[in-house]
Amino acid sequence: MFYRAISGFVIHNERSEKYPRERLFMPPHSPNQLGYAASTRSRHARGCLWAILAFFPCSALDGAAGGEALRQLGRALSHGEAEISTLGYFRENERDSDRYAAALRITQEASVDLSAKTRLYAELEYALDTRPYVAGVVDDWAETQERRYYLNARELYVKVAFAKADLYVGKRVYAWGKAEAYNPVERLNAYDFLDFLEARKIGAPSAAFEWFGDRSSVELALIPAFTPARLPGEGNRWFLFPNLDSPPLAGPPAVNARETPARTWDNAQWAGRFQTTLGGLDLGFSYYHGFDAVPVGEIAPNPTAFDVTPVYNPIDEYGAVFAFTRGRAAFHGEAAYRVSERGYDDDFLTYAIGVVYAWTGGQSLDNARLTVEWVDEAFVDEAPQGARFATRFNRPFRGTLFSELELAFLDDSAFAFKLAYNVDDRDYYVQSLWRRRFHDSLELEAGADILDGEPDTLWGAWDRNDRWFARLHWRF
Amino acid sequence: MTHPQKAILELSLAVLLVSTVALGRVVFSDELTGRQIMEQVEKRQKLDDETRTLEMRLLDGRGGQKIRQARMWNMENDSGLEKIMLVFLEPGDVKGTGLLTWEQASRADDQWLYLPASRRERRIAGGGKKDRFMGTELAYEDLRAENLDEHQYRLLDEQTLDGAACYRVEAILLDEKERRSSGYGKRILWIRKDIFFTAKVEYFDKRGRPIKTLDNGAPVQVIESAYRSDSFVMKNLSNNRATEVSVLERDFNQGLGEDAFTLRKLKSF
Repeated sequence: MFYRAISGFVIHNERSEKYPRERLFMPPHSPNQLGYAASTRSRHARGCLWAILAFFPCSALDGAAGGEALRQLGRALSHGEAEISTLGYFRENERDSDRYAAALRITQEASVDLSAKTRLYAELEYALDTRPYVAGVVDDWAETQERRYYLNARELYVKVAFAKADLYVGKRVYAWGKAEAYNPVERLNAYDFLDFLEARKIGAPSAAFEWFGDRSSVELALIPAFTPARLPGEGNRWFLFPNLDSPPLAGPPAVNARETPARTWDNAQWAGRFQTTLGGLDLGFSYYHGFDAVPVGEIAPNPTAFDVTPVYNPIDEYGAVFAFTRGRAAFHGEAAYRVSERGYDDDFLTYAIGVVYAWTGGQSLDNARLTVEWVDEAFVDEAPQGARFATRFNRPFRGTLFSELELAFLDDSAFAFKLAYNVDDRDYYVQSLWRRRFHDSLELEAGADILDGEPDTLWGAWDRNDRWFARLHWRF
Repeated sequence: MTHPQKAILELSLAVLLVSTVALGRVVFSDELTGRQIMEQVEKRQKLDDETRTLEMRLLDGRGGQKIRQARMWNMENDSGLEKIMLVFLEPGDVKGTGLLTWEQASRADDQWLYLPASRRERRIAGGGKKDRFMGTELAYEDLRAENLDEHQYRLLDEQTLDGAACYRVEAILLDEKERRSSGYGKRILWIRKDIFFTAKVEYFDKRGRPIKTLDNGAPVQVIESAYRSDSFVMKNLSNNRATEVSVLERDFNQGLGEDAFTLRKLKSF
């Protein structure tokens, strides 16, 4: 699957007082890269304690006295999935000379009934990586660290079910979109882009209330603490520098620490959506008020120094989604019109429309699925050139065709072929993947990623990142 | 209508009623049409709602097997349209995956598939109803209840199956569009004469070749006239694969309402 992301522009100048400025674009081997700055050590220690409690040996919990909920938790956490992955780049990259990497991720999902109406959900993760992608332990509801955590709770929330409504409190991943490759309406979760091709959502600390009618629902979500997107630093192969058509000064810029919005009620993000089903048509409308989780670079006003500071733009966004079927085809679409507060950035509509065609048949084919999706922008109201510049992470898929063919065979093997092609820039990304399940609990997948294009295009900027990969999934 | 005509009609109806009562046994055993047999099946076997926990053994025909556990709910609403929800419980890679189907009278059914990994429900095309369901030998269309108005039923003959006399009824979809989207050209249903229970189903492709068989286990009486089997086997004759399904737990007539068959419920497991 291609990453589901978002886009943005312009700025907000408040600095977080509680959290010191942290470097977004770190040099390859800076001490800070390890995430052990003295000021944060005690926080990491608290996080360690929390995580150890969360990962307390499950078998012991299972048999211990301590209530049915604790036993449920123990039983649930004694199951999970381990993913061991390895990859190799075909060529060296000027930012990162390491061509090979390996990683381990253990995920445990649990749902525990705390009472007849209350349920606790948790998705806990343990991660190791030979690349400098992981550091420290989660120690806050909002994931503010620039790297992943050795120990983390990607989701951890309580759900209270009423007769006609659900209340959620905690860290949660939302999915409001209908598109397969790219979801313009999804703003509630920031993304981890450390490896762009494996981008995934970061849980958002939030409270949400969802009311249900017969065929409709209304959901309101409040996210009091901002979570920034996790972007690749300067020593990362997937690093992208802001697009500067005319740099104010020659030479490499100095990149300052990012400025995240202060944790105040004024900066709280909130969103709402209405969705319904009408005569075979799924429809939804949404609104989001908050910040773009992907920063833009702000050029310092000092004309003698070329300083760039990553900052986050306040935005309002109006979204709509639909889905319906005709014959064997399932059509879907979504669109989001973004209004940049204070006129810092363009106002524009991003849309994604697509179709999924599924079929089955033959002696060896279990099922097949072809997805085609088109992503573009429209109604762009350009803002005057200011001091802020986006990277290609902000609005990556203008005029892009996505396609994916998945073939699953009866012998428990599968093949997938993905393509992302930018029609205007003529750059592309291709992935071929083979998967084989040896047992319900053991699966191997392997494949290759190929990227190409001109250096000033999204995929072309990473044309030295062609690679092979293999992943082993073990469910226990 | 004139008075004499009305009198004749009333007399005819009275005669027909008396004949029907007097010869009821004949009508029920020897002169039922395929459609009437299926109406009896529906009438006798119908439950207001049903909830089952299923264990599925997916046999690959070469000695290998995979085991799935699922919970399935179904009910018929006031319009006579069925709602079905199925959620996988085991193993871990499919746990929480769910399928919700709302049968529709005049258009394709509404179907949503929920995949917990993406936290997203996906509307899926009813045109894919002949597709295999989650690696089993069951097709999506096999999960639906029998819709009598969509089929033409023809009584073929009577045969004995495991010592029980059965009607053999041929079922063919009436609508050309439905026929095109189905994986079957026809089905032959073996209906036990004594309890109007479907003991076996033979599936044929559009060229009339047998492709699958469904064998129900011994029927168990659940209420007065309703019988259910605690197991069945769906065999694929073309590749020798099979899916064995055992009912681990069953509840029925619990008063499930339509609010038990919603996207909210689908995502709550």
